[in-house]
Amino acid sequence: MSALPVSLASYIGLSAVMFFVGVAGVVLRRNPLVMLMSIELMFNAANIVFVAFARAWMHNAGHIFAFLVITVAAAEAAIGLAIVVAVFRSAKNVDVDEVALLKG
Amino acid sequence: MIHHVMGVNGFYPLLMTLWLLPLAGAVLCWTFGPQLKQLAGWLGAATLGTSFVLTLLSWSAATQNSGGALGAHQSLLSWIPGFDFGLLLDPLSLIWTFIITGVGFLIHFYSIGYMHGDKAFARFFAYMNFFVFAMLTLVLSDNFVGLLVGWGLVGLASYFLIGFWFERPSAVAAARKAFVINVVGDVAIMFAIFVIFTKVGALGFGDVFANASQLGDWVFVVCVGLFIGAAAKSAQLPLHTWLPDAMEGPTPVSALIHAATMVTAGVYLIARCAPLWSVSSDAQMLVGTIGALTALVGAILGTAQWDIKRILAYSTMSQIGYMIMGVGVGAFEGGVAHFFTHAFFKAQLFLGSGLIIHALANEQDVRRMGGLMKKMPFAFVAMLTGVLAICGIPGFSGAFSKDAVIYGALAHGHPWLYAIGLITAGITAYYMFRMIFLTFFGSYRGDVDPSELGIRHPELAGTPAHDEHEPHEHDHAPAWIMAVPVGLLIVPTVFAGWLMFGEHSWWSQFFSAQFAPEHTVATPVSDVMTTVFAVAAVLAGFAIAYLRYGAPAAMEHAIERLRTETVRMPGALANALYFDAALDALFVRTSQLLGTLFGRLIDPLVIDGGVREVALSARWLGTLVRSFQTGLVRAYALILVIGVACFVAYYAIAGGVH
Amino acid sequence: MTNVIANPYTSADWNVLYPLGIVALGALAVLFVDLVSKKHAPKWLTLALAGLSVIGAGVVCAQQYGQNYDAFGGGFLLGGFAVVMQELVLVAALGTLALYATLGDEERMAGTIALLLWSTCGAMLMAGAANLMTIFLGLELLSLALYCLCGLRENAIAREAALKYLILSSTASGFLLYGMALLFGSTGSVALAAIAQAPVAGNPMLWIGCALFLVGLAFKLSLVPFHAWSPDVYEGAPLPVTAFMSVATKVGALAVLARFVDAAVPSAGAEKLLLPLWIIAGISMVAGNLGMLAQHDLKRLLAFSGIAQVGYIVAALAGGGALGLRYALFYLIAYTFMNLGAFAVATAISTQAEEGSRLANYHGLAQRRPFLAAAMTFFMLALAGMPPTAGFVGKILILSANVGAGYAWLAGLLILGTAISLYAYAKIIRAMYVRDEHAHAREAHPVSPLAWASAAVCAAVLLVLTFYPLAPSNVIPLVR
Repeated sequence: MSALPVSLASYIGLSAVMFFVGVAGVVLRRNPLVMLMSIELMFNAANIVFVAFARAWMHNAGHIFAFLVITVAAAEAAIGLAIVVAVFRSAKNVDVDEVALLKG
Repeated sequence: MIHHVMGVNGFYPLLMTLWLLPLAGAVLCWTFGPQLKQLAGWLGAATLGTSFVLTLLSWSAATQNSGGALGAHQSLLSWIPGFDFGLLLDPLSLIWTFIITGVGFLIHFYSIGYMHGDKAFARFFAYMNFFVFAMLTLVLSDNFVGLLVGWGLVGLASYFLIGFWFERPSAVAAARKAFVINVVGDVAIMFAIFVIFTKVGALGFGDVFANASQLGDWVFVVCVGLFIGAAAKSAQLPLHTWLPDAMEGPTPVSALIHAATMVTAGVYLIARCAPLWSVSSDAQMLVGTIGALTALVGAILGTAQWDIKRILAYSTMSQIGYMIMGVGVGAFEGGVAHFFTHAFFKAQLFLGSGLIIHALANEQDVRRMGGLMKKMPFAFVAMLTGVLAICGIPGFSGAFSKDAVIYGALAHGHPWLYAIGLITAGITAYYMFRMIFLTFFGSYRGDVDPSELGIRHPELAGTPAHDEHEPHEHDHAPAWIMAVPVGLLIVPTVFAGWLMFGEHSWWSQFFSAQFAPEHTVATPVSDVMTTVFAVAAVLAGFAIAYLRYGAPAAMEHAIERLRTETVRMPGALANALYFDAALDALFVRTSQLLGTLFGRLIDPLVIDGGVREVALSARWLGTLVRSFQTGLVRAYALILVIGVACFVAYYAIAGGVH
Repeated sequence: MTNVIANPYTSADWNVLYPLGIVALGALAVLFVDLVSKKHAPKWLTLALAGLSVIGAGVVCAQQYGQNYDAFGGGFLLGGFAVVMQELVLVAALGTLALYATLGDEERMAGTIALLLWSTCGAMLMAGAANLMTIFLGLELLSLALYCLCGLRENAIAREAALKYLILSSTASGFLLYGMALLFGSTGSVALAAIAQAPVAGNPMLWIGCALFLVGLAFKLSLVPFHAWSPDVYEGAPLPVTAFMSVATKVGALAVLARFVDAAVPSAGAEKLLLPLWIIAGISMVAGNLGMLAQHDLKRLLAFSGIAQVGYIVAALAGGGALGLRYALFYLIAYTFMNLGAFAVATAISTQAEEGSRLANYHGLAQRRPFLAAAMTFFMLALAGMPPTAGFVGKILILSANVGAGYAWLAGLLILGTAISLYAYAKIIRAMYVRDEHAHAREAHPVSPLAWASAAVCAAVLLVLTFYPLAPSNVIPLVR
């Protein structure tokens, strides 16, 4: 089915690594900006899979999906930055562990 | 032949009207309470009086029997497939409706006097009318869901009425206890209904009973579920502990809800589901035994009470035990008969005690009464007829129905239950006459210092603190308002039993098409002999009560004797056989597992109400859920990722196995 | 392999999107009016425009009922199911507008309402979405607008809620998206139906793709263990947003989930593939209700309640086939009105300064506002599933579906959860009926008529649903 059996696997491998780095970043980092960047990594890992399989299946839906994701990610980043600024406007350092008014 | 087709379909405007009138009364009393003032009471009583008349007018419709369909069936709503909602008035529900509206009317009438001047007078009648509507929904529904709706609503009305004087912490605590125990019962019934719906695919009584065979072995489960609900509502062991506490409500409430009608809902439920019970001998055994034990335990506990209303409460529990025993073992006619007579004589007793309580400025402790016969001859006559009826003195109503139940136990092959029934009859006579002697004979002890009577904490002994919200502070309503209902009740208290007299009594004619013929076994003693035994037991009980409280020798040193008895009361009796304590302990023990579920909630409730009752401390299950809510984003992200890891692991394995 | 892009779209395709377009244009109109106004657009005008567009969309959408059309090469399935779900979202939006009429401030009204309408568009898109791309688009449109809405209030709690929602929800979107990528990789198509045709054996990519996809949806539905965000976000967000979120996100995500279960699950592995979903639904019923017990804030309490309620609905899907779906739909409709009603009561007793969501606000409500207290009691009883309410009917239906399909353990958990929840809901009811010594101090502010009316309408609809359980049978064949 696939014309690029070997390289397809390596694309998937790359995307998997990127995805895990992203997940680890969300869980481990305390800076919300870095967390947002990690989420972007997760999104882009998915993009790689989409594009790679679009090529493999010779089906442009994957390409279109990737563009869609890029657009959404941009919007997400814009909104994310706005919220982060709003939350940490008065704080000296930016640390999500200090934001825990809501709990229980 | 038992009929599975429920009621002759038709248009019965009277039936719908008698059902909805109390609701209209409740809404009017609630909405226009401030404008209506004292008229609210008359309005409330009038709606019930009208309902009662309509019940009488519907008599022929309810007893019609054509083409295998018994009674009147009015469709109201088409609901989910296999299920329509409607009203069913057949002999069984007719008897209940008769009592609910008839006795209910008298009690409403009485309440006009009893509640006179209470600041929430209109609210009281709104609740009472609402209760009657709920109770009518319960007994008139033609299906299980409608029954459960009524079941829940009467619980709600009871909750409000027990806690009617919400300034008293004890009233609030009692209301909550009743609510919690009844929720247990509601859930059990709901479970039974789920099983029925799943197995039979229908919820209407007619459909379910016609296809009861589809339940198979589940019929026992269904019966147990229904019975747990019945036990909670009808104060059967071990779910009875709320009933004595429920006496915190105004006395007319005790008379109507916690004696005559609501607490007998369990009897109705079992009688209604007779086709299910008749096919499950295990369920019969279980329910019959619990009923008999409840009768016995209630009577034993009744001997140790000082609060006149608590004496009556335990006697109610005991008498309902008889009814449950009757319908449990399969003696449906007898069980229902005892409901019928009990409603009269117990209402009579409560209303009579209300006369005393009202006149003595809310004194409820029999140790501080005595010698009231001369002061209140009318109350004495009323109470005495009630006591003679409940003891089963031949000729009085209770004798016919109670002996029918006791003999029914034997006839259905339960000699042990028969024996318990007879013993209980003796104990009943003892504690009832104890109450009569302490209240009406001897000399008045109300002016004696409580400590001389051994009452250390009057407020704990059942005597409520005198309280400005209660009626005694206000000008009294004319005495005849309270006297008339009591006087009227004397008639059925004495004579209602004669309906059940004889081989082909009116009663058995009336129910001939309702219940399947009972499968009785040959009995070693006849029913006449049973009556003789019962009378002997009653005389023995009376004799002991007389010697201890009524004889001149006992009268002379009444104060010292009462003090000694109070101080030396065995711990088990003083603490109601530790049922409350046992339930509490049970909860605390199991709280390691399940009690937490209640604990998380009851604790805040308890704190809100300002009362600590049940020691439910462990709460880790609820805390477990909350402990995940640390408020830290990264912690949440970690939970998310762990969840994902579990998911992916499962799918990787499940996908790989293929 | 169908080529999605190459299909030339006819006007019929675009007609399907009319309701969406009307709502989106409504948002633009709101912003435009605000732009040309001297200072801010008057509150009533903004709300009127938004309300008109929502009602207009509702009317247009209703006319599509009974039509059956696969628009955009199967990207959006018009049919009874989509119409009902879209109408539910619109009802939620309309209810939220009524709440904003009471609680919103004029300065931010236009922006807030525009975001609300776009969010509504997202949920409506999800209602009909049938391929991965439209699902993702709808989900993100819904979520992105909601992040902003959560934070649109001058206080630290609201911003914290927005931040938490943003980070956690985006992470979940990341999982969802990666799952979609794997699904695309294993099937070569973005259509849900393609997944059903893919071989299940020896295809781990498909399985893991399904896992991540379901995780993403479970997060939006806030099923345990993907629920941790919802209590915090519900509590922190402004009251109307919480109301909207508690209904619209769940409707949208359930629409997708229902379609996934119905159309995308390969029958060969269906039982295994969906088992984790039923398990977390079962856990949610119990854990959600347990979590409710110790809460003192209505919004937080309803967040936990929502976790359990969604558990019930997902469990209904386990009933399998048309019957389960029909019952799930009925319960979802009932849930929409119960929840909106409860929030409407909370709004009715709110003031501009303080939201009426603390439990303390409800003390003695029966004395001050007997009708509001009665309505709230009714909603709580409905949420608890007590007779005689639609909640009880819904639960009976779900139970029968579960037991019928051999998932008796789900039915058992449902009953257990119901028993637990009774206590929690009773707490609110009791609070309303206890005597309140400070009743006079609290009596000051008048009740907003619009919020009052919303509560009344919700109660009326619930009553109708109780006695006429409208489980529209003709919706079901149209899911595909």
